Amino acid sequence: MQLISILLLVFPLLGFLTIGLFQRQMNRQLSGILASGVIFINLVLSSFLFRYITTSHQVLEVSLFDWIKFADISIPFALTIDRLSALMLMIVNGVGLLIHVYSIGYMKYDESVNRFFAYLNLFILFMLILVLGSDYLMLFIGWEGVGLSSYLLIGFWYKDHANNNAAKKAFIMNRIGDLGFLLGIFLLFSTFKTLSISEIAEIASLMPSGNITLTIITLFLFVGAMGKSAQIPLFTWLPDAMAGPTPVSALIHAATMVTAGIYLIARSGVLFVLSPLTMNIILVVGAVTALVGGLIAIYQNDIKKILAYSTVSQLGFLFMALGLGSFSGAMFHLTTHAFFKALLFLAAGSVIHALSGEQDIRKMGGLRSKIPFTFALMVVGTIAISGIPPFAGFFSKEVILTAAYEHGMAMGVFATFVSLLTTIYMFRLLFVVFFKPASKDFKPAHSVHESPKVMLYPMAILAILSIVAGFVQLPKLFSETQGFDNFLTPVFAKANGLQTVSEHALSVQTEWLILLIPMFIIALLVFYSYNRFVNSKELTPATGIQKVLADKFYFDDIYDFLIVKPIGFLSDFFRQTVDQSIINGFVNAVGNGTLFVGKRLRLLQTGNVGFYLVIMVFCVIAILFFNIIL
Amino acid sequence: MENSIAQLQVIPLQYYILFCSALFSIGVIGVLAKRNALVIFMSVELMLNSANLLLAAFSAYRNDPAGQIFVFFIMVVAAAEVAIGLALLVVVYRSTHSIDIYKLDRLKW
Amino acid sequence: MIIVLLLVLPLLASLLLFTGKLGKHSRDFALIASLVEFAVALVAGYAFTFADNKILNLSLNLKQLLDIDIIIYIDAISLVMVMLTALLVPIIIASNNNREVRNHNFYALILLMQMALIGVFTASEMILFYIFWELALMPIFLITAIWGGDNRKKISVKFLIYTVVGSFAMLIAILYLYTLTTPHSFSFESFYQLKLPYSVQVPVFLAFFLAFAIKIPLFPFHSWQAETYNVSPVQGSMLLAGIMLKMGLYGIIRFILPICPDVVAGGSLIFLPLILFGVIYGAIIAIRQPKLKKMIAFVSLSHVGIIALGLLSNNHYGIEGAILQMFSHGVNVVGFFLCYQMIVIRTGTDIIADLGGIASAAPRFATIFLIIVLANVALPLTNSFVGEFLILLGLFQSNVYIAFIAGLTIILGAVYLLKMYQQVMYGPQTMATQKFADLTTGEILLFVPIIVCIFWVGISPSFVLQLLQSAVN
Repeated sequence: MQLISILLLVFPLLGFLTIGLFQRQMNRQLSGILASGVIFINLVLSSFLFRYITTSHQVLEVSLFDWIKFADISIPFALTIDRLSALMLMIVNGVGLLIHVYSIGYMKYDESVNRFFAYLNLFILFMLILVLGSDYLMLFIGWEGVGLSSYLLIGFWYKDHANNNAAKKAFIMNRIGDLGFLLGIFLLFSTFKTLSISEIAEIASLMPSGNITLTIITLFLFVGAMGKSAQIPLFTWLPDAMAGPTPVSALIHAATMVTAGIYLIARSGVLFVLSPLTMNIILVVGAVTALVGGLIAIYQNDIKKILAYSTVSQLGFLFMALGLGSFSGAMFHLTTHAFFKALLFLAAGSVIHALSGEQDIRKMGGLRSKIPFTFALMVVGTIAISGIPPFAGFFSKEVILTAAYEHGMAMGVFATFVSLLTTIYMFRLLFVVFFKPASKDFKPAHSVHESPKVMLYPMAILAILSIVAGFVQLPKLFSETQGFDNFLTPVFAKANGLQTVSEHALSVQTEWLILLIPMFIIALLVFYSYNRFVNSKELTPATGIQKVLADKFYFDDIYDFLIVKPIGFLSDFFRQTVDQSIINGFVNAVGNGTLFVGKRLRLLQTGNVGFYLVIMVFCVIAILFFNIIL
Repeated sequence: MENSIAQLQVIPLQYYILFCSALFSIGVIGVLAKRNALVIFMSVELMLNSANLLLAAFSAYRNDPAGQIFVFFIMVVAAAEVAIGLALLVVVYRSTHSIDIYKLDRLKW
Repeated sequence: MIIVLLLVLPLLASLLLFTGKLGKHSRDFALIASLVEFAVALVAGYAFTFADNKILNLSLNLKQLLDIDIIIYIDAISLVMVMLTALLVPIIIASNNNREVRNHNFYALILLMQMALIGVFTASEMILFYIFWELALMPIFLITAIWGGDNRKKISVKFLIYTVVGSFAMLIAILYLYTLTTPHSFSFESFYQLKLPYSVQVPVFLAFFLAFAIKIPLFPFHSWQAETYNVSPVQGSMLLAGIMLKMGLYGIIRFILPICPDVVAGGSLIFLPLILFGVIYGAIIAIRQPKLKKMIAFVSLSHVGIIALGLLSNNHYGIEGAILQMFSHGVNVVGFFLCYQMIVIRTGTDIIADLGGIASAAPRFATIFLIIVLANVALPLTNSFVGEFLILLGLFQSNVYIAFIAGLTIILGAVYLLKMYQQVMYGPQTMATQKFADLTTGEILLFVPIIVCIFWVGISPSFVLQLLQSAVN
């Protein structure tokens, strides 16, 4: 078993190295098949591990070798596999495999397709390190590694500086979060003398709730999570990251990398549960992000940007779940979100592929009949994400909404409102792209064609998953079996045990109301969207408050103004004024001063012997004089 | 012996001091104000001799032979210095054909 | 015994080269000599690891001569530095592949420099240390003054005088400490045994610190650095940045830490922020620096500032991390200069704005350059991450705020390096980079040792760290 865990890392590494080193020589078909094959093997291995972990109720620890070890610091390369990691393994490898296969079709005509698959394998490698790491530093290795892969993949088409800028922005924003994470690691080490996640949980569980050190540690870790999972204020990189190829957006920026922050917090559940202040902050930040993301998404016109902001919003939603203490709820929604978000992105890719690169939805329309399969898949995804039963989104959102209502009615209503925003923007997307009659700007380069099977099959699988995945856990109203919760109980037992459960137990009537009222509202919204977006001619240009939303709340502009430009000025100022004029000037002045004094002094050498004699006499007299006087 | 010393001490010491100071000053002025190298050398000799005289006078008035011994030293040094100085002057004359010290001005800024 | 060999071998080789009899084969001879030196260093390292007392030493007694002995010894810290030198000099020599004609004196000077550097790192006696310290200046001065770029005479003289001012302060401190030792002696041992009162430690500390601050350099004594790197030939810059810098840091370890510990502990709030400012300062200037060579200088300024912070952090994590980082930085910066060399040879310009799109033309080079850039950014699994992590950890345990601001360099590092990389490698090709030939096999071979070091130290630094452990204590 332990060997299998190690192999999980070895295979993607081999895949990356092989495809990477032989980029030029390799057959273009081969790279895709090789990369997908590697992930397929990984998926099989993961299933073995998954079964083993589930049935044996054990936690697997694999120690590879000592990484940093001297004095009293010992940080090994070690892997831990418990149910949480096993779950993430399945998601990463499963969704990863589907996207690899999809990419075989999507990237078929790209000239650097080999490099693409090498990078995809690299990403999977680092994501697995992140998920499997048994101490915080290994997690950090994976953390930075996925940041690197993200950079490489966003800037994949590097001839265009717009892509490179987006990649750079993503990496730098991630790094800002990483600083927080590092500081958290330092404080963890100073406090607990170890970085092993399980050991820290052991020691921490004995500490009182609200301990200041723990609060600061968790705040730092949350900063890291904010950067990686695109929460306010570190979220502007995610929409820009859409510059990368669509499979990248699907894999990294929907299903896996962005969920790393949530995984981190879930893993460190014990620490967070003991810091109520941090939990509240997480809740607020998540809520604001969810709201802002949803609002912006309504006014976007690029199909991928709509999905990107939707991701931001959903991530906010996930953080809300964490802040409410519902760790398994968050993981549940993470899983279902991975499925339907990946599906939506892949379907969007399919649309873009069909229209030969068009991404602006205002230039689309009436595609229902032309690309029926994609249409069907998109419908499935849209219904799933909107939380309409019996698709998966409904069930996972229910868990979170229930937790929100248990926290308080206001929170519950807010969460429901945010959730309903999803309906608006997703159905707008659906209707404008597929139902609305084709706009006059509709000029695809080639004829509109359906995607090849190699792209459709993975999407179909994701669609099926989006439909059935929810049945693992029905709302408490209907059945007592909470499948997902039970599955993750061993992992979260400690954390849950330490939580002060707010006993806002909801009555059965309230629960039914919570269930049904949103249904009605959703139906209304769907109707309204249909009328508004399909039948009206154009979306009116945005004015007033709509303009603020359409311009993304001016976040990018604020950052540019507050940070980018001042640093630029500072750099020039330092370089020219301080360094050259002042410091260099000072040093040169010393040298010049010496030269100046020298020039003046040498005038004493007149060559006139009489003058020398006079000076000599005077000096002798002076010396005698001072000797006598003093 | 005491007789000759007593005879010597008829002239008050101050006269000697004054006289030697005057000689010395003349010597100094000669060194500073003259262009002719030989005259400068003679002025230096004059200064040395004035010091000698003063030393001898003090030696007589204090009854201390140390002064006279010192006079011997100074005379030897003066002689050596004149020898070397005149040798230098001869060499300088050979290159500049003049003993005017103002002609030696090439080693300037 | 081996130590003497380490010192004498480059000396003999350089003397031979000076005679000029080798003519065209100078470069190859120098390369072979430095490779042999590297082998000897490996043997020394091997012997050291398995020796009992962890010290190799040699002691010659010249007591008659003014109380000066000649003592050289190697302990773990010296060994790391010696390995660095022995590793980098062959690469430096090989990096000049006859596109520009350099005569035999050039290689002779490089080897002489190597000897001086190894001498500095192995001397265990003040006067000897000082002699080698000053000796190391001459070759680099000559290399810069003769084979450098425009305006080289003035800048190399400025460099020389500036450094000598610092060394002079150090000399005064050494002599003063000498007078305090009983019985009078110049050996390190006797200096370490002095327990100086605080008031005495302060001026001694300041004198040493001045010398090292100029050498490393630390803000605000850094103004010689950018110009000198800029004007020096690439090999000169590599020697400067890769190894000579470390002399100053080594000096801090050997002198300031053992002799003035109280000042280090007590005064940390005064000079740590100063160094910290230098770190950020260098980083910010590097963001908009138009010339690549000067940018590397400021990047270097920033990085060695961090190492200095680690050394002065009064914390054994910080110190060990700093020593490891000294090694990593040497390797990384030489790698960076190698990439620079490749670019300049092919495009003739080093103004960043004039470059672009090289990745399209030379993907192999792009990959290698990316690896080196990532190593400079301290990505985990590269060598500089471990060092930086330990340094920041050490700083964190001393003073949280300083660690936070120092941590900003990881962000700023990403900013300037990625910006540079993007401008130079990505995007459309510019006029200068139209015909950019990819790396030849020979050139790739040059990079191999650097890349190996990057990953090897990144992934398993433990054995180095354990070696250093006892020495640090």
